Amino acid sequence: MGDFATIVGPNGGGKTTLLQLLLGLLKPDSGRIELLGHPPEKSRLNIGYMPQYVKLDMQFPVSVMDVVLMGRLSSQLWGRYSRQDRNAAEDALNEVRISDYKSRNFSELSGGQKQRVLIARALCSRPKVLILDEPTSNIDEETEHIFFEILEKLNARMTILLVSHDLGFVSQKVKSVICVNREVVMHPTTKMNGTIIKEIYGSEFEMIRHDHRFSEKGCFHE
Amino acid sequence: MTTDSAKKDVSMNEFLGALMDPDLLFLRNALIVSVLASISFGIIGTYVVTRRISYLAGAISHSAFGGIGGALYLNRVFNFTWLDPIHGAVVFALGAAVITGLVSIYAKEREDTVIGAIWAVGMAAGLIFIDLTPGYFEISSFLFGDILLISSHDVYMVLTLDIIILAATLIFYNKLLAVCFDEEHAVLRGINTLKYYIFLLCLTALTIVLLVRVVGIVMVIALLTLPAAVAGRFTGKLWHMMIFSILFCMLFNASGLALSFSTGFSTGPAIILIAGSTYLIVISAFKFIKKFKKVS
Repeated sequence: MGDFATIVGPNGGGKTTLLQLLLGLLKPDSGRIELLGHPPEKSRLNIGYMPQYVKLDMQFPVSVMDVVLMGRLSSQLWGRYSRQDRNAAEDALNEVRISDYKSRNFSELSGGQKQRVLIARALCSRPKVLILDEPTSNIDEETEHIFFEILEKLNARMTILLVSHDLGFVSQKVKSVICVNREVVMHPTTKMNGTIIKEIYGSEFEMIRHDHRFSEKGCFHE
Repeated sequence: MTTDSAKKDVSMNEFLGALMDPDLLFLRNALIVSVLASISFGIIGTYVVTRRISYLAGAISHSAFGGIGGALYLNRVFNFTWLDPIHGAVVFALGAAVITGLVSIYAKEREDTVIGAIWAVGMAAGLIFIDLTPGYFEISSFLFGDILLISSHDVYMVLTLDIIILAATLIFYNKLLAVCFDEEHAVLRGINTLKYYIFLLCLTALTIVLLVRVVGIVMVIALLTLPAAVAGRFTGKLWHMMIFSILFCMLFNASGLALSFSTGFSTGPAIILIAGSTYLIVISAFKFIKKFKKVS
C-alpha cells in the first residue's frame, strides 16, 4: 500500500515547480531527482499525471474515449491503438465510474466528470504513482466525496501525490502532508497542527479536525 | 420562375459551360486546384483552429511574400530562370514555420511580439527585393490572388501535397491529437512534442503557399480558419471536423469561383466573402437556437 500525500502551500510557494521537477518537465539547477529509482525522464512512463483543469482547452473537439486513450500513447512511430489499449481505457473508465460517457464529447461534460476522465487517462497507463494537480478546484462537495472514494481504492495499489491549495482537502484519507513555501517540509497527518499551518501560510488558519483516523501512520522526514 | 433566378440560372450555366471551354483552361485549372487544395486546407485548418495557432499561420503566410520577392530578384538579376516565385515562397514559409514554432515554445512571454515582427519583416523583405528587381511587377496578384497564374503544373503540386498531408494525418493522427490537446501530457508519454509541433507548422506553411495563387497572401489565412470554424459548430470529434472543413472549403472555393466568373469580382475576395458570411450566419443561427431553446 502506497503513501497518500498532499502538497499544500500558498500560491507562488512553488507547488507547481516541485511537480514539474518531479515529472522532469523542469531541470533542477543543482542536485538530483530520483523517482522510482530512476531520473524522472526515465520513470515518468510509470507515472499517471492529471494536470490542472485550467491548463486545457475545454472546447477541444475530442471524445471521452480518445482523451483516455492518450494515456496509452507511446513514442513508436506507428501510432494506432490496439485492442489491448482500448480494454485498458475501458477499465480505467470503469474505475472512475464514468464509462457511460465514453462516446460523449469531452467538452459536453461537467467539471467533475472532466476531471474524472483525466484521472482515467492517467490510470490508463497502469502507473505506480498517481500525481494530481489541483483536482478539487472545479467540483462540488458531493463529487468530492465520490472522488475521494475512488482515490482511496486506487491508493491500495499505487502511491498518490496530490497538490492542493485548499487545506480542507487534507482529509482523513491523506497520510502525509508536504508543505511547500519556498522550502519543503514533510509531516505525517498526525503532526499537523495550528503552529505548522501558521508557519507555512504566515497567518492564522482555522484548524479542521478530521477526527477518527488521525492516528494513521504516515512517513516522516526531517 | 422570376427573372432574378432565371438570370442566376443563365450565369450558372455559363459558368459550367466556361469550365468546358478549352479557351478558358485557366478557369478549369483554378476549380480543380481549389477543390483539391480543400483537402489539405480542411485538415490543416482543423489543426490550426483547435490548437489556436491562426496567428502563427498568419505570420507564415505573410512572410512567404519575402520569398516571392527574393525569387523574382534572383530570377531577373542573376538569371535563375528556373526559379519560380512559388519556390521562394515555400522556402520562406518553411523558415518562418520553424522560427515561429521555436519562438512559441521557448519564448512564451514575448511570443506575440516576435511573431508580429516575422509577419511584417517578411512582407518588408519582399517589397525591398521587388524594388531592387528591374521591371514592373503586378504585386497585387500575389497579395490578393489571381487565378490567371494557375497552370496545370499546379494541379500536380496540389495533388502531391494532398497525398503527403493525408498520409501524415493517417499515421500521426493520435499523436497530433495528443500534442494539440495536452502537450505536457504528451511529453510525459515520451513523445517529442516539439518535433510534431514544428512538423505541423511546416505542413501548414506548405498548405498556405499552395493557395496563395488563388486567394493571395493576405486572405489565405481566412480560408484556412473559416471552414474549420464553421465545421467546429457541427461536430465534436477532430476527424469529423476535418471532413466537414474539407467539404465547406470546397463549397466556398467553388461558389466563390462561380460568383467571381458571373459578376467579374476578383476571385479571392469573392471566396473569402462567401466563407466569412457563412461563418457569421452559422454562429448567429447557433446563438439564436440556443436562446430559443432556453425560452421554450
